[in-house]
Amino acid sequence: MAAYVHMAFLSNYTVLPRFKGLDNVRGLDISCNEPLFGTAFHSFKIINPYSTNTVGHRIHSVQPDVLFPDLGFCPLVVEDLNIHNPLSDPLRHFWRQEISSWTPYFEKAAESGFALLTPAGEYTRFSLVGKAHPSVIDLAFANPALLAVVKSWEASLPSTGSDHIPITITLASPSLNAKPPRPRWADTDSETLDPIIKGFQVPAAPSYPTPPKLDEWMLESLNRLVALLKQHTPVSRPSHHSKPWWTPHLTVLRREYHKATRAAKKHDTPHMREVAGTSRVGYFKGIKAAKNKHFYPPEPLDD
Amino acid sequence: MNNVLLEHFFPPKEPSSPLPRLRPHNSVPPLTTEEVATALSMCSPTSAPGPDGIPYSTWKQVNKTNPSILLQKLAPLILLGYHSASLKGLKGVVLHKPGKPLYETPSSFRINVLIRTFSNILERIIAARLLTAARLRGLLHPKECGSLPGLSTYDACLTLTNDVKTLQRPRLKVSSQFLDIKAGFDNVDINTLARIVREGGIPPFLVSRASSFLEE
Repeated sequence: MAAYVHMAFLSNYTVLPRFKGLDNVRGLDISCNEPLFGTAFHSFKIINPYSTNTVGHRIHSVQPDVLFPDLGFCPLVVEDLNIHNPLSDPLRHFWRQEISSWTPYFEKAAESGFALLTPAGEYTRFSLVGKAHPSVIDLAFANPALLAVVKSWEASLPSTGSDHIPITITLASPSLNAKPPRPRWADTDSETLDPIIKGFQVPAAPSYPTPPKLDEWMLESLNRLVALLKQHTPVSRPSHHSKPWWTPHLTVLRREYHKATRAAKKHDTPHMREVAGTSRVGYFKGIKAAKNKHFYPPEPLDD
Repeated sequence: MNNVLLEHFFPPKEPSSPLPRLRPHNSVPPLTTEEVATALSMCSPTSAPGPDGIPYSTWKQVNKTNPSILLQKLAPLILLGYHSASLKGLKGVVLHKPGKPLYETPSSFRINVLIRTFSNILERIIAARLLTAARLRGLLHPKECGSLPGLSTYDACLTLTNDVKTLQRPRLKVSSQFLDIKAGFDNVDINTLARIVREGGIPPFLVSRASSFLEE
């Protein structure tokens, strides 16, 4: 394991390697004179273990206690744990020994308040030989103090030659100001609004006005019209995680997809598998259609 | 950094003397519903809206339901040759220019400006009238491609290529010279511009409106 730090980063931050006397655990202590990410903390730790397993999936070289310490400042754990679990890879079929293998790690993470950052189903390892199915064995966790500043987890970079692809985790100050509500113009209540617009009277412009007087007339009448339009348009309050293209129909499709997948796992019959497959196809097609509708809306026909 | 970027992208201008009362210009063609509809038809419904957040699709719907609203709001501004200061508010998004080694000077950034969509409708109407007036008076260079409907950079490249090849055919030596005036549009002198277009025969209401648009 090796860690590379950009020189520009070192001009503002102190980075110290961390060994802890263990062969398979490396870490970095990153500190700064100023509080980091708008929090009260001046430092945080990145713990990066490489856990190998022996005797099937039962014995791992790095124990859970080492990975999820109860530290007062922010730790982030990025790891090649070599364990499979349904939270990060829901579509995988799990052997009994695999389940007993990941349980202690996730129990310890939950006890220490660590949350899994790795999104479900985002594969991080692609076997270079053989026909092994891609898997999610590189997991990232953050404790509650650091979780607030984790902006994104991405595995979009190409492989560097390893069977594991690079993972980018972005940390940034959380936005303290909530985003303003966003009008959903496509859902404007036309039935109610149209009669009001038909009867809308623009106040007469002043004759021979001074520029400030004309500005006042323009602003006042425009604001009145804009307020009327916004009044009849529903708003959404986007969060950092909300998807603007998401629809209530997709929520139903997702629920059905997960329900069918669970049922297929419980009663492994050809019929149930077919239902699960159909609902999966329907769900992902629904996402594609919703994205197309959102990003490439049809041009309205002008009269 | 905010102040540095503001001063760079919006250099302070000489404060203009307060205008007297605005008077309607003579012989201004009345604004028509067709002009408004044509201007709206050129606006993309997916364009990002400005500070008031109203997209073009909403204005299209308003104009379809009651065409007199936009007409009554825009007509006085055209008749008086005035661009209202209340339409000059904008929303600026600062973007990094890619590939810069350091981002310490304003020239490493570009600003994406979003104005009120309502203001843009008026600008399109004025631009159409200005284009007609300039064409009627022969003020446009035959090879002008910038900001003209139906022409683009592609046409400018084709024109240049054609000129070069035409001159190369009789075995003449050809060289091209390109001139880029730094912050050219930001530093246009309003009075000089007004004098030039007035001398070109552009109607006074358009000259007055252009001056008003460029004022602080």
